[in-house]
Formats: sequence, C-alpha cells, structure tokens
Amino acid sequence: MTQQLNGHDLLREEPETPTLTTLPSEIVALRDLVRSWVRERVAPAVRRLDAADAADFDWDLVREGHDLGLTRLVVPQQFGGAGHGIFGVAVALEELAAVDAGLALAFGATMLGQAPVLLSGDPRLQARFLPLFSGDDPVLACNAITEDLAGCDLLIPENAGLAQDVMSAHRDGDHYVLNGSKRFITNGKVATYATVFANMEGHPGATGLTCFVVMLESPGVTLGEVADKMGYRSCLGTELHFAGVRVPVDNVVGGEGDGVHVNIQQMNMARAAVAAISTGVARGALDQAVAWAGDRVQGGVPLRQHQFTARKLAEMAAKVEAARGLYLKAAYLADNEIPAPAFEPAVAKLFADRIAIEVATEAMGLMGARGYLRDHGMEKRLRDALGARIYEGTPEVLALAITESLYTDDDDF
Amino acid sequence: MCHDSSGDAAVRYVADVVSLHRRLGYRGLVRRVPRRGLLHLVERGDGLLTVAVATRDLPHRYLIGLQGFRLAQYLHLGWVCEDVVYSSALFHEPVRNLSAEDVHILTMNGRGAILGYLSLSAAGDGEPEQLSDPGRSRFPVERVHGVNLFDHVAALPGVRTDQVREVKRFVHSRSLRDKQQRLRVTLELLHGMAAVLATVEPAVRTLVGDLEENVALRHLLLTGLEVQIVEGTTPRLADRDLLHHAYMERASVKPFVAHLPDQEEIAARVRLLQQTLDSASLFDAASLLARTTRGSLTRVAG
Repeated sequence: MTQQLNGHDLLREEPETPTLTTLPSEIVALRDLVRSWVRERVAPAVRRLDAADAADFDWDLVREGHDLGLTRLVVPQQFGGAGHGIFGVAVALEELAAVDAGLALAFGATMLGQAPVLLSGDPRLQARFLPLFSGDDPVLACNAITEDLAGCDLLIPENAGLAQDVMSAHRDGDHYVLNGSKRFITNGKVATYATVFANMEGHPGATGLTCFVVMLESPGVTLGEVADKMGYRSCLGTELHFAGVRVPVDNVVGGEGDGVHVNIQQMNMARAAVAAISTGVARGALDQAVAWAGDRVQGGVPLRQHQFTARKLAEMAAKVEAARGLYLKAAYLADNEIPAPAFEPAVAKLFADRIAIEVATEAMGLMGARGYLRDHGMEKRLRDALGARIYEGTPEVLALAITESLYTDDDDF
Repeated sequence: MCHDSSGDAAVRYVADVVSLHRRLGYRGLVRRVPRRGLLHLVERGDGLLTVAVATRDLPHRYLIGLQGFRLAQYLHLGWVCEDVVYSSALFHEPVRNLSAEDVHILTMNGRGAILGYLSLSAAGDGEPEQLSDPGRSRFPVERVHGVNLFDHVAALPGVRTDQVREVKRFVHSRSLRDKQQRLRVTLELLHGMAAVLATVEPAVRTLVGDLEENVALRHLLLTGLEVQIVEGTTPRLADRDLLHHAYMERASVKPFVAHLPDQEEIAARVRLLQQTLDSASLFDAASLLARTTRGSLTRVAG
C-alpha cells in the first residue's frame, strides 16, 4: 500500500481492505487529518455557528474544508477527486459531526448531490460536473427531493402513485422544462448545482420520477426561505423554486422514469454516511460526558467512580462502538456491492440515529444543570441528534426497508 | 476532417467543458507544490501570479486543471474536433501524454483563473539519448511532421535529448481581451520560460516545437531566440487524433529548432524581460525590447 497525501489533499492510492479490527492506513490518515482540523478550527466556532441567524453560512470554514478535500472525497481521482468511497466519507463525517453535525451535513449533502452523477455511469455527465469540485474555490452541491406535500412518497416506490402535486417535467426539444418547488434542501442556498427529482407530466403521482442535474444559476431558479431549524444550524435548509427551468436532455440521470431507482441507490449509499454523522454526534456527547465525569467531584470522588455513572458511561460507549461498527460495515458494503444494499445502511442509520438521542440525553443528564445550558454545548448535541431522525429516512421509512429485506433476503452472516 | 455525427449534443458538451474550466481557479497551487518544485514564482503586487512547475511536483487535480485549460482554449480556437472530445468524454488533454519532467508555466489572476500557459516538454521519461543517434526516440513535433529535425538543423555537439525541450501550447485565456493584459501575460510567460531555461538542470541547449509564423513566432523572437524554421514538412495526424484540427485548421504550422545561448546569456535576457515587465509603460518597454533583443529567423529546407 502506498499512501499519498499531497499537501492536505486526501488523495488515495491502492486502497487496503478494512478488517474487523483495523482501518486501512489511508483511512486512518484521513480520520486524523479531519480530526485535527475540526478540533483546531471548527470547535472554537461551534457556539457562534449555532447562535447565528438561520440563513448565515460560514464560507470560510467550508473553504478550509474544501482545501482539505472534504467536498471531493467521493469524487474519483480521474476527475480531480480524492477517490475515497463511502467508507472514507463516513469516517470523515463522524469526525466532523463529533464537533458539529451541521458542518458534517453540508459536506455530506454535497456527496449526496454527487451520488446520482456517479451512479449514472455516464462519462459525459461525470466529466461535466465532477471536476467542478477540483478547483481551489469551494463548491457545494445538493440533492433536491423533498417537497411540501411529498417526502416519503418519493422515497417509497409503493407510495409513488399517491404522491401529490409533485414537481413536474416535460420535454421540449433538446431540453426538459421543470416547474415546481422543493423544501428543506440542505445546501440549496449555497450549492452550485442540484440533483432535482421531478415527475414527467402524464404520469400519476410520482410514477414518472426523473432525476435532473440543474445548475442553480439557471434562469427560472429562485431561492426561497431558509428554514429556521432546531439543530444543524451551520448548514442551510432552503426552498428552491423552479419556474420554466430549461435543462438540457444531457442532464438527465439514467433516463425518464429512472428517478425512483436512482433515489433508492442514492439513499442506500447515503444512509451509511448519515449513520456516521449520528455516530459522531453520539461520540461527541460521550467524549464530553467522559471529560465531565472525570473532572467533576461529588461525594469526594470524581463522578466516574460512582457506579451508576460508570454504568451509564459504559452503556454510552458500547452504543457508540456498536453504531460505528454498523456504519463501517454498511459503508464497506455500499462501496463493494452493486447495487448498494438496502438492509445494512438502513440498520446502521436506524440504530445510530436512536443511540445519538439516547447518548446525548444521558450525557446531558450526567452534566446536570450545565448540560442544559447553552454555554456547555451538550443541549446542542441533543438538538442535532434529533435532526437525523428526519432526513434521509425516518425510523418508519427505515423500518420498511429493513423489514422488506428480512422477508426477501436470505443472506446469512 | 472532423466528424460531426454527434451534432448539437457535442456542441453542448463542449460548451459545458469550456464553461467548467472557466469556473475553476488554482490559487492554492503554490501552497501545494513542494518549495523546491517551484521553478519560477513571480507576483508583482497586482494579483497576477506566474508559476513554473514540473509535472512530477503537481498534485493530480492541478494537472487535470492545467490539461483542462489547454483543451478548453483549443476548443475555443476551433483547433480540436468537438466530436472527438464528445465521443471520448474528454474534459482535459490526456495526462498520460505528459512527462514527469515537463515544465508547466502559467499565469493566473487573483482568483486563480489561468490567463496564459505554455509548457516546456521533455523528451520523455526514458534514458537520455544523443541527438545524433539516428535511432533515438522522436519528439512529438518530429512525429507529427514526420521528420528528424536534426537532419536539417545541425545539433550542437554532444547534446542529449534531455537537453532539448519542446515548446508547446503557448495559449492565452480567451477571456483575456484587454490588449495590455494580453501583452503582460505573454511577457510573464516568456519571462517564466527564460527563468526556467536559465536554471534548469541539465542545462537546456535547444528548443524545438512548431508554430504559426504570425503568432507564436513573434513571441519567441521577443526573447532573442535564433529560430530556424524547417520548411516543407506536412503534419500527419489521424482523423480522430485530438490535435488533428490544430494542424489542419491553421494556415501553416511549421516545425522549428532554436539553439540557446549559455545560461549566463539567458540570465541576462531574464533580466531584460524583468525590466520590461517592471516598466510603467508596458507597450513602450516591449517595443524597446523587440528592437534591442529581437532574435533572428532563418529557414531551412525540410
């Protein structure tokens, strides 16, 4: 194995295969690089980012992250990317989320916008969009699925026929014309392009769902309000409006009606990464609780020496370890199975989202009143933990995917 | 001729590739190249930055960016067949054609957008050969024109292939419309080229390449080069060769050889170019430079 870190560029060569107990050395190098940057540069800014106006965005930090290669982790090297798979992305996102989940999601959402282009297998589509991330100016992408009346109806194929008022597309010569709106689109306000899912006119509900790559500078695209969220405040969830937006036929991912398939593949790739974000939130809470319980003296001894506290810390640690194991396995499979599996990423996300809330809640309790104060940052971790249950699949949607696999897959350990 | 079987789709693709490279900036390149790899680095306080770096020291994404800039400018000029680019899904010139020792000289603006570029390409990554060896590997210009240039222009005694560089892709960004800025970028690139030639080891003794007489030749003569154009050759490239258009669409592209003075004399020319660039009146200074150091042109039969 040779490892090459050009400056801070996270370029990967000759990847090693992870084992059950060790990360490949290039992933360790990536993890350590991101960890170091996050501790030095992001941690001091977390309180400010969290308290900022909903529409504020810290381009300076994003520029630094871009400089490290965080916007192009999953972009193949032939397009100027770092050439990591979801595995590397997930490890990096855990490090980011351990300090700030919002920033992790800004980079994660970019990967989500890159995924359909990667999955398309269309070399020209890839050549036109993936090198955008290889320059020195930071570039973000986003993925636009969710609408006012349709979220899960666009994710679950069986629901597609029931979806209401879905954004529409019709062909006009060498272009498609898009009309409609999207909501809660992470990076929508700051992305260069979006992968947008719209329903072909004439198809009921979302049965003609099609994925388009849309430059957000295109005439007819307008930005709506930025959502004032409870957590994840350092990334922006935005409305996007499309009024007669003309998109070249070359920008279709797959073909007309392939949107559901693209979306499912994309979700199966992304869920391992989101599970890593939740794991990171949990780990951040655990680390803070461990530090607190090591320093805080009650009854003449540090909290950690009280059996109840020790038990809580141990349970929290076990949960974080288990969540990490699940997302690493899911990410590895997402990188190495075609198509990416549904089961493992859904399990990883379901579990990590849940334990993030449990660990953050427990950690807050351990810190007592301090845990409830904004100054200490634990309540922010809990707010962030709650957010992951909403995006990229609620527990209910994940449960459907998992249960479907239980009845249809006969894979054993 | 260029096949246009892909029609409008190829036109759209090419427009996107050109647009893509116009967006990209590389201001961070200087920080990413090892210090010893910066063969030339000049910034005159107005945001323009000129850098010379060998292929071996360039991170891959910058290499792709430079090769992409080259392709985008040739697409702009109509020197590359759109259908070849489209059908191959190209967005940069192939990196595999580069040698580790090729030197890339580029001028960027404050945003890192490339405004001008030229390369001093090395003979290849193999063992150096004597120019007098009839079996030596050929430089790209020789392969295109089907000629051993040193059959027509005597090689300097004892010179090896690693002491010869091919001047390639002397291009300006098509976005550069201001005449003074164009002249400035031209002079910056020539200054960078001369500075590299004054210091690179082993010392470069001869330049080769091919050019149109009314474009690149004027620039090279500004540096005082004694250019010998080999007449009567015919470039031969396959129809589907990426650069087929570059030769067929232009009036006449001729190979040349230019032997260089010693490095001390080159260093003196570097200083002259430096003075020209430092002048308050660039046009006047460039005219003076052209009058005082203008090189010579001779023609030999090919």
